[in-house]
Amino acid sequence: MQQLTIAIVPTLAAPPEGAQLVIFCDPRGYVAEIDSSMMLAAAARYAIRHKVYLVPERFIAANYLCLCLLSPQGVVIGAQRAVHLNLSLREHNYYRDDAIRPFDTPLGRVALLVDVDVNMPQVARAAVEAGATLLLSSQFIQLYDLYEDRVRYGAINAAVSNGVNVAAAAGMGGIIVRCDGRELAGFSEELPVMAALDPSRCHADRDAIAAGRRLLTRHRPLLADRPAAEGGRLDV
Amino acid sequence: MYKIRLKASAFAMSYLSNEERVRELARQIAPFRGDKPAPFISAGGLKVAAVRTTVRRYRSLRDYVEDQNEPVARAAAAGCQLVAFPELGAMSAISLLPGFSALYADLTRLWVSGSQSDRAEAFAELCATVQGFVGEVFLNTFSQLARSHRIIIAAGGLYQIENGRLTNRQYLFSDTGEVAAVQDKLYPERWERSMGVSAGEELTPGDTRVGRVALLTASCLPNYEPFFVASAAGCSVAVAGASPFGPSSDLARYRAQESGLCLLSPGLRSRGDFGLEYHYPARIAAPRAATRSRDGSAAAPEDRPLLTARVDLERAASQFDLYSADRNPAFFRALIAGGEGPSSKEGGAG
Repeated sequence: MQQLTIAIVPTLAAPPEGAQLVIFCDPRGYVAEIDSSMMLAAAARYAIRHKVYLVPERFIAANYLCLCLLSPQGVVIGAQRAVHLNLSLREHNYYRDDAIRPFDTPLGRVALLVDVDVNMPQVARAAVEAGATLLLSSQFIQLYDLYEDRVRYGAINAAVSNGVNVAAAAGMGGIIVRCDGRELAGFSEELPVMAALDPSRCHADRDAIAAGRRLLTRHRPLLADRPAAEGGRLDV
Repeated sequence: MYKIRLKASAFAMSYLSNEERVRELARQIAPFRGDKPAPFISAGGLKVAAVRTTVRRYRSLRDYVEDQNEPVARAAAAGCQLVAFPELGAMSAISLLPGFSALYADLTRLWVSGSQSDRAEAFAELCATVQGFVGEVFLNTFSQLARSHRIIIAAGGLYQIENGRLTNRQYLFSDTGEVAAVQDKLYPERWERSMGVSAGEELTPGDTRVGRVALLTASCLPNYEPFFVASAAGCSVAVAGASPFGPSSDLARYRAQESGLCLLSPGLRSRGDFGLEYHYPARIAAPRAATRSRDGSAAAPEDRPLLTARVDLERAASQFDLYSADRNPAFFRALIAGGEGPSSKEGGAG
């Protein structure tokens, strides 16, 4: 695959001409479980009608916050459950997954970062370690928290730290960052956000990633003794 | 000729410098301030400084000590409890070697004409020869300055060979002048690796009156792991400054936010005294809630010799960021468990 044109658009808005992969951008926290199947059916129709790969809204399934990727045929070709949750969702006792699972697609190896997972460096790093070259994210941000650094933070951090392509919808904004750290489009509250990149390219520094893994392993006793203090903060 | 000149210079230097002479000079330039009250210290009122050092050649030992004292004195006068210098700061003391100009010219010629293995050999020999006196000058200067100004100093460091291992080593001095931590660089640069510099194997933070301090480098910034480990080890401050190999980056803000650390990034400037010209400003970052800014910049990158900032880590610890505070120990355990962790299964549609 040479160039992939990615567009971040408001939910169900027609994609800009030339878009091959669409990420829906929505002001809602998530689609409730009772509405999830209808939302996915509508998303599948959208993907077929516009012949695009599609990352629809975040939705609840079996008490997990989820994100999926649909093919232009309207078929789910990959899904991911959230590994971390927005604190307001933790109150609802939703479950969390314990792994990030990239999957192969015609676009390359893709990992889906669900909601706040885009802000967690260990998740993006684990995805790249597992071979992902394109990270797709959809995050909910409260309107009162919607400012530029908040939207850019996770995507830029993931892209620059791991040398990987990132397209992230956040709140009613979005950002697309190439694997060399160049911000191709966004931050913008003016949708659509659109850019083209080569999804198979990846500038990951495998030596540094291996060194990081060795460092974590060497300090495992320290970390294992304090499993609830990851990142220096209490597990809430 | 280079090897003979190097040995001769090092031999001559052994007569010009000794521990007591360096300490006496530092005491003269920065007299012990017994009258100075100890600064009030709490995580809520941490005041820190990052130095932007100018790399240059020194004319004399006094010149060197005065140059190091200047930012330390200014930081202490500004009420800072900790001041950070960039890595490898001690190496410029090599210019104190008698006949350094001729030695430098020899080395440059060897560098241009020699093979990779010749360069690596010459580099190792240079480090082995000068580490004694450079270390002596550097360690005694900063130990005395820390004691005189009653300030904690992350002083940078030098290349050292120990048990046959060449490392880029950094030092932390407590406000009583003791070495509080020694840290070998965890992520050596590509050039350093080609010269045989080994990576440090573990994080060795130091305990000080402002809490635990980790000595990291700009090369760590693209990696969350060392900051994550530092935070789990109970550190409140980390240093990750510019080096001759490159500046610190905006990633400092991100690492500070996700790890909860106050992150000092000292800067570096060179006008070509050692063949290279670069200009990397200092910066100070902290979790958003610990600063007055919205983006975690306690002191934005600025072209000043000394950058200071006050950060409130207590406030940061008492607030949970809705979007980054969640922790999932199960994911973390699987991650450090290795192969059977996060990458073992695929998230395909099935």
